[in-house]
Amino acid sequence: MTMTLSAQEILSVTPSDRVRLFPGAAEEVRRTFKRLATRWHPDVCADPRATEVFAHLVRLRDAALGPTRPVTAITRTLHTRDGRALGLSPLSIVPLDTGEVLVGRRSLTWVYRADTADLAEAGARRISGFRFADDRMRAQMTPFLPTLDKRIPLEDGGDALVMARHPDEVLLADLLRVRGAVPAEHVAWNGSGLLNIACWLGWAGLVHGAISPETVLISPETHTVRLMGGWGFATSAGSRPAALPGRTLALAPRLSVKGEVVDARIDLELIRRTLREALGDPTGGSLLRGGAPEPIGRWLVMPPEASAPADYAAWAKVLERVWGKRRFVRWDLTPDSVYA
Amino acid sequence: MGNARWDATDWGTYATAHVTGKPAAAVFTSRDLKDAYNPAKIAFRESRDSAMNPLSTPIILGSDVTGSMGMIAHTLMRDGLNTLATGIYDRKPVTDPHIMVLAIGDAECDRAPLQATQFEADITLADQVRDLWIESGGGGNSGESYSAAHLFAALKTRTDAAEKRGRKGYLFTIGDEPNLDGMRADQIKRVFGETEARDLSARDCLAMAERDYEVFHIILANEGYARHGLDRVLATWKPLLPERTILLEDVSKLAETVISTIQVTEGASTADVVASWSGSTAVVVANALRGLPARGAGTGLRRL
Repeated sequence: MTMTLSAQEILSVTPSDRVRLFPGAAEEVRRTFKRLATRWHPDVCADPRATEVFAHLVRLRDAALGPTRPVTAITRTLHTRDGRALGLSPLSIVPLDTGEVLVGRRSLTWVYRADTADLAEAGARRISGFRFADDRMRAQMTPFLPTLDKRIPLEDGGDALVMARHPDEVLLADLLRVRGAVPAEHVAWNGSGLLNIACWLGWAGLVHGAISPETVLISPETHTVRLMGGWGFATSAGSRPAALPGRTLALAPRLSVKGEVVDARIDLELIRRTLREALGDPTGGSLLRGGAPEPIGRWLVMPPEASAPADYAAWAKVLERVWGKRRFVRWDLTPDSVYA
Repeated sequence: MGNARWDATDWGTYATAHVTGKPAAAVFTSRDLKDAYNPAKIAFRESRDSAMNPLSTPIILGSDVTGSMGMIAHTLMRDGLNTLATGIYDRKPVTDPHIMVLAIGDAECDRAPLQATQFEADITLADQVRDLWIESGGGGNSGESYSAAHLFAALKTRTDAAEKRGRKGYLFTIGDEPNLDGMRADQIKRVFGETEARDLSARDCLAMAERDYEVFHIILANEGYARHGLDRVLATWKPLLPERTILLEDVSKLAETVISTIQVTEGASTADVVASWSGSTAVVVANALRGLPARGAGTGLRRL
């Protein structure tokens, strides 16, 4: 019966009501999930809400399997402007040009220093102003973009933006730090996910400007990629950003020059850099010499096409050339193995 | 490569034997492209750390060798390389320089549109530079293939500076002509020995080089094509390298200009750098550095 449920019916199941979809003991939960995953995985399911449904199924399954082992973490106290002290126990703390990001069990908190609080404001405005051509595009893209849950002005003049993190997701920077390079077959879907987002950015007339392992969440389970951070740097294509991270300016030094404006190729170049970092070779020095399947290495080293759709099309051809028809390759990597 | 250190005494001995008082034709005796310097036969050039050079910094000098521009290579051989290496040791804008020389031609018509020495840190480099073929070609197509140097840096160099420390090296192209707009796929295949290629614009090639190098172009403002066609030269370079196109009035001050550019890029004040030179050198360097921005403190977020 679960196999005949619609997207809306599945999405309406809350974690506390999970037993409706996932009855029985752990083994049965896993079997049910496998059947549902075969039906709803975005690689095989044409439903525009497939990604959202699949991610929701993962959450319900995790809830059905019970809590994972507790994590001992460092602590951080945020002193808010209204006089409260918020004690946090993040799983990791990643430094950024603007401050730091605290990875919580179910949240990401982007803490901005006082001198970068304007970028928190710009990021919050940008996220709440995401636009889509229609409901279909909204349904397709929302799973890959952040939703701002809370904004917390801080006592020191800084700011904190809080967003939901699904427990099956890891910050790419954490994954690389703890587990090392990502296998090429998984860099493949990382690339597809980022290029998909780049296509939407192109449609929306936006340049993000800060795509990096520190701003990207990936789910090894569902193979989804979300661009969560750095939205305060985003600006309209053809305009000049107010600020950019050092990493972006190192790749495109001409943007330091007064009057220079951004275009889509900046994000495409940043995606290449991020994927090279994911492969463990930021400079790409070994990619043309066996460090990755040759067509992948070549794509990552050569410059981007003029637009995101053209670049994505070229990437898709490269993937097909290397691995044939698109298929799901399971990755036995759990968030716990990164954050435990 | 690059396991030793530059020594001014070695240079003096070498120059006396091979360079001093000799015309260019006697210094550069190669009459054809040698495999050792042919990018199509080079897998990659490496700048690696060593006991003698533990924090290596790759520096590439891409010298136009078309028409009369063989003079640049000759200038480097007369004293330029020695001034550059010893100047960097003395002033220390960067650590442990590994220098490579590229000979740049014209991919439209030359037999050797690009040649590359190894990265070297000692007198070995001088022998390799002398061994380059000064083809003196270039067509009447109002431009040279400077983009080939950018592409070589991007595709055929590997450096510990970038791979181990995330530090960029330096790439200077030097010449008198406009830049031809990139390279066609067939040229890339021929010059670099690539089996697959697509057309790349000059901006593409530059963007690739800029991933691991601080890139500059030095126009010899009073020589060759630039002497009468400077506007046409600038029209191709300024859009590419708006603040990094350098006008050099006197080619004999090339090494001092390169050193000074590195110093300013690494954060030194332009006024201090200019003041550190004397006489006519200070004047030439001051004019060359006009408009060159200092990097400023830190490498993080930057307000635009």
